[in-house]
Amino acid sequence: MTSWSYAAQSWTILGVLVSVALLFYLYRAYVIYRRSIVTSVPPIWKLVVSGVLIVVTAVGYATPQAPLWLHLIRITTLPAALILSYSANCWLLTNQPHHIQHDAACRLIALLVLVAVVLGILTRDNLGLITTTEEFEPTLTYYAHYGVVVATLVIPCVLLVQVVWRSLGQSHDLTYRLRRQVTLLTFIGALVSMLIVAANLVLSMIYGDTYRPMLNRVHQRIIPLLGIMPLINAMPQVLLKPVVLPLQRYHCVRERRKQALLHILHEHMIAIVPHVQLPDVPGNPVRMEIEIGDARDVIWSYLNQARPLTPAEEAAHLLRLRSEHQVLSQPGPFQPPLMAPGTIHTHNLEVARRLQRAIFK
Amino acid sequence: MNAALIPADVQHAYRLIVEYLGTSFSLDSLLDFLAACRGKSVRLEEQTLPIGITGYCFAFQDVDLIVVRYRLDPVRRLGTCLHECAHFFLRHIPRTSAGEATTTFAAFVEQHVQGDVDRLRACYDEPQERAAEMLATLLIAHVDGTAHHIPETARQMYGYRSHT
Repeated sequence: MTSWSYAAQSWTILGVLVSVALLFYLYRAYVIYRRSIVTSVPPIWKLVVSGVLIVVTAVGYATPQAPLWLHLIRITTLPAALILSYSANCWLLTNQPHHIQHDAACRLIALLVLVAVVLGILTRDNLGLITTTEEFEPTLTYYAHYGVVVATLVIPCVLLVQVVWRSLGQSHDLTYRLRRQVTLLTFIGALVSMLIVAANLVLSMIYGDTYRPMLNRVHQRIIPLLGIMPLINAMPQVLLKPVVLPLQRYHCVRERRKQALLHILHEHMIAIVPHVQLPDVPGNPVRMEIEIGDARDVIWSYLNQARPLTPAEEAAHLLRLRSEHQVLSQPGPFQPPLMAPGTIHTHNLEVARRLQRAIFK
Repeated sequence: MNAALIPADVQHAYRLIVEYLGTSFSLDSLLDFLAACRGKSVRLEEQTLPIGITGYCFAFQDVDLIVVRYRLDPVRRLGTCLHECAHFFLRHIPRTSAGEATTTFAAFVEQHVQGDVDRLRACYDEPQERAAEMLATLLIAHVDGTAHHIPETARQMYGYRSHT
């Protein structure tokens, strides 16, 4: 099988995967239309159009020795698809309307696409793709054309990676996190594949075709993987839920273990500082964390410590206070040291683990 | 939480807030709602506070001030904010904390009238503290501390249960 057919195969797989994703998006669009929900209509249509453009691009790149008109279509449709995808993602993740025409980056990409089209027309007899085995003349116009084409794809990919990265912590819902993580991985993959093409162009200018087959192989393996993103992203909840079910079960078990550990620590803490407990609210995890924090302030205020206690020290101290049946009803004379932000939950769990070990020893 | 053990005023305030803001809302929208209810702006500040005190509130002529302890961990910070908000929602704090003698917030900052605030902190009786803490605990389940929720457009897009 020749390298060209590998390239064609890669783009064909991408096209098929995106077409399936399009069916999912169209189904969602139909549901949204039936329920007359207005807010999510523009983003879904942007994603649908983006998908259609990617399929057109895939057909364009899977066609060997493409004529000028087809080449111009494929270099225009892919940036357009990425811009639409970026706009839809901005809208989806921020819940705010995103208008392409008001976005400076989108305007820059549009300008670069125009430059690429002009350069493409200028080099119309020398359009051989560097990512295949097609022949080409290494002229300045050729490199300038493909350099601009790569730039029109790298910029939206960077924007997409940024916007999806910011959305990663939006929810603890596993299916949503999976959608976001897969989306991020895919846009990183797309960015890497574009950078491979850029490297291919630069190395071709210096060393000729020495590295071209190797870089093309990597590029052609990445392309089909990029089709997984729209597929998983567009997958309805009913289909995605069973996929994450085992993960969800594991997550639940882990959470329950953590709650049990926090419960142990909470019991010790309120036995020593009973007045921090709000009666009639048993087992509320957030309340437990608040009460653990309040009790810790009181306990630590009796210690002249410049640094926070380590989990081992705190567990030992709590056990000592319990064994002496001490009850603290007033804060002590010392200002408790501050713990590093973001470490308290882990610290609590670690103290609880040590208490548990000490109890069952 | 056992509903029978929740005082009527806490239940009433809780229902009012959830009816107005829905089942999921941010702390900012709760503060905006509080400002609308009280007819003046709400100011949230951080200060170094004595041991055992995680926050306090004070009603100035023009501003309702909520102060939380400096560098409190996120869960307790949220809990403290909600506790102080609850004092306002439950009308434990009158329109102005010190009656006609209450200054504006700008005058307070200029004069450093710390004494007023210190005195006020200790004057809540136990049932009020408990009621405020109960309302805060009920509300904490509805407040997403940061942006820990799926945006509404994404919910509708992917077919998650909508909040609206």
